[in-house]
Amino acid sequence: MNVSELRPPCGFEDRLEAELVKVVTARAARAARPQRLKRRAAAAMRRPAARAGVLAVGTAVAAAAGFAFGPSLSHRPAAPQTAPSSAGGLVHIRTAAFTVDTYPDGTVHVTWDKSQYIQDRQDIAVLQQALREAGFPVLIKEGVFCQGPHDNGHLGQGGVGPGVGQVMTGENGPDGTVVFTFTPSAMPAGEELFIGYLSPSQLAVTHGQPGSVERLVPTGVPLTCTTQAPLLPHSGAER
Amino acid sequence: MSGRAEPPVRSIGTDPAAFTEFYRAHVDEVTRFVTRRVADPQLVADLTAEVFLAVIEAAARYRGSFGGPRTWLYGIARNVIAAEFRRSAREQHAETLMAGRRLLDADDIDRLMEQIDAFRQVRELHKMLQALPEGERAVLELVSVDGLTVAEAAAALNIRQVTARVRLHRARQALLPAPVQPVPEEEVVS
Repeated sequence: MNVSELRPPCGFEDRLEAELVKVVTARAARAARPQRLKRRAAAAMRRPAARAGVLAVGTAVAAAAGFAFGPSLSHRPAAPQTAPSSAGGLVHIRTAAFTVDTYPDGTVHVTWDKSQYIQDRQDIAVLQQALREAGFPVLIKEGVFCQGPHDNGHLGQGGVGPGVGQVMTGENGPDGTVVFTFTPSAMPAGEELFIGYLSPSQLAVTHGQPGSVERLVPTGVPLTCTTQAPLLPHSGAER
Repeated sequence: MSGRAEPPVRSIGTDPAAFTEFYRAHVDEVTRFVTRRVADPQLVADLTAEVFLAVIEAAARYRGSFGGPRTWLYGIARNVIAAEFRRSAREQHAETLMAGRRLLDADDIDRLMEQIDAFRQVRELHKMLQALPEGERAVLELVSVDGLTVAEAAAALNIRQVTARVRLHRARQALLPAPVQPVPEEEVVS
């Protein structure tokens, strides 16, 4: 028997099939990733350890993704370089702005100085790529705020939408850092986390309440985006 | 579904072609399974999606089953529905679903409503079974509501066939009308 012998479903069942096939395809990609990463990690270990301009790339993930963790990435002082990880499938990245580490339980921990981070668009792109490589589906923008077609736009305290707490939790770390834990396995199928950081001019309006917006958004469908920063109830901000 | 060669179940969680084949072979039956228990078309869509998501997650652990993948699928579908009925706060759970309802259009809802209407009596039967102990209800539900054989129901529930037969017998006995107690003549008021 092959697929062509079966009547393709129509209507809702057809669309559900397309969504589910995306899930299976993503799982297949994740299943194939460890072997690919092991090969890349081995290649990375063979390269000179201290390449000029490299701040810290702990895994082959970032190297393979073609990231240039160097002076062009940030004008901030470089963070101390860490030893690269040889564990296939794990991500350990150190930049001047943030760190990304995967843990054996599948969670991804990100630490950054938020006030510095949101001022550098390239950092945003690099973090987005790092999280995706770590298996966490995410879309990060600055100054732009997106939502799915069925999202009523409601945001809770801190600019967080429904369901976000299942996939991302945060707490203040020492020295003004923020530590976030992302849980890829908790992400609902067919969705990803949208993070929208307010631009400096928007922050001037909201006074940091919120400083960012997080929502779960569907993948594979057009999102509605605006440059209008959300104003939370009782935020005290003025417009 | 029966009588047709099945795709290798253990690969359907990571092989899009195998999954597509499996999905097309079973989606109608899963939808009917859900509509025999749920009268809300949007919830039908959500739960149908969730059954197949559970299938994707569980496929690698498939070790064969009497009756093949069909009974395995019924076991998963039943667990998904049972979990849904146990939930006290539907809204909380909605955030974790694929939200199959998002994929519905007006025609789909009309079509599902027709199916829901057609299964009205079956759902009434399903409701009646809720008073039974879980183990007995599960067997009678799969046999009487879904039309599985006792052997298939046993496989879906991962219990022995003899156990299923005993539970089915008890369930049927429990549902029999209580015998009419003869009224002593002296108590008859004319």
